[in-house]
Amino acid sequence: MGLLSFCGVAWGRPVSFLDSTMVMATGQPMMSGLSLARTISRRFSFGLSYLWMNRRRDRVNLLAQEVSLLAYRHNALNWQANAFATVGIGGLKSVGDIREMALVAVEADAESRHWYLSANSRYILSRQKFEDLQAALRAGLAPFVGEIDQINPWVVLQYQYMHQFRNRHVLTPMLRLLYQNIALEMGTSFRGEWTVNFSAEL
Amino acid sequence: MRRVLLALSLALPLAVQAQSPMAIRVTIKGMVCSFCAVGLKKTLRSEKSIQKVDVSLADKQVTLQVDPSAPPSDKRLRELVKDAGYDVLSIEHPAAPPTAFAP
Repeated sequence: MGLLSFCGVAWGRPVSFLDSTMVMATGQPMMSGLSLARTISRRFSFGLSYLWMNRRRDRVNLLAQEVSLLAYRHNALNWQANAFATVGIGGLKSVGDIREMALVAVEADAESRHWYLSANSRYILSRQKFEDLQAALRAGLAPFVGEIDQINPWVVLQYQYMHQFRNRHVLTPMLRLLYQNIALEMGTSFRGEWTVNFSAEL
Repeated sequence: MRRVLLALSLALPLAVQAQSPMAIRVTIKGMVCSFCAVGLKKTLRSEKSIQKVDVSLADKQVTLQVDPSAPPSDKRLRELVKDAGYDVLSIEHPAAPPTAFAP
């Protein structure tokens, strides 16, 4: 599985197999986004991300062009591990003010057919000053495993840290369904904030 | 006449065998989910000589039906698997199954 970065809190891999395109969408009351990433070599992808954020002091629209690097990959017989780094530049609109922005993101994950762990962090700058910091930790378990033509269910627990948001800490249990090259996640945080994530690897 | 029949009975299985796709079984490291399997299938199918790809996540194996007149080399298979993000543990070339016409 796989599969991770960018809509809001990353949850799909930014670098995948050669000549593939990853489509990711996320929806939460405080943040939603859409991301496309085209893998152009074994280690690099180019992407475009749009993000809407409802923060403590403002509402933000962000559009960024990104380059991602698969910095590390380990393939074992029963599991795999990855580490990614991403840089992006673009524009950000907040309270009628449009300004340039840049972001740096790092991410690591490891998974088998039965368990899944990931961690990611994103640092956003605008006008060369700190704009936001977001991070997430995810752990998942598969109650049973299936083949490629079966729906594979996962139970995932996600912790998000969002520095500029009203609720900085969000803990969300989710159900994740994988079918071939499509993943759908649904959950509600312990404060009642819903989350819907979708990704497809084309 | 007997000689002709005998020659035919020897030549026919060879002709049938030549047209049948050849199977190659590849054991993959790192293939743990359906996303992995779909990506690997897509990458392997991009190779002209690979006609069919069957994946078993449980066995960590892909079985390829390839064109016997121009089968991909083991080196090429390893490259393709690497392009998909995975590593090859082993490549097996099982013997072709006996045909009904075999003498």
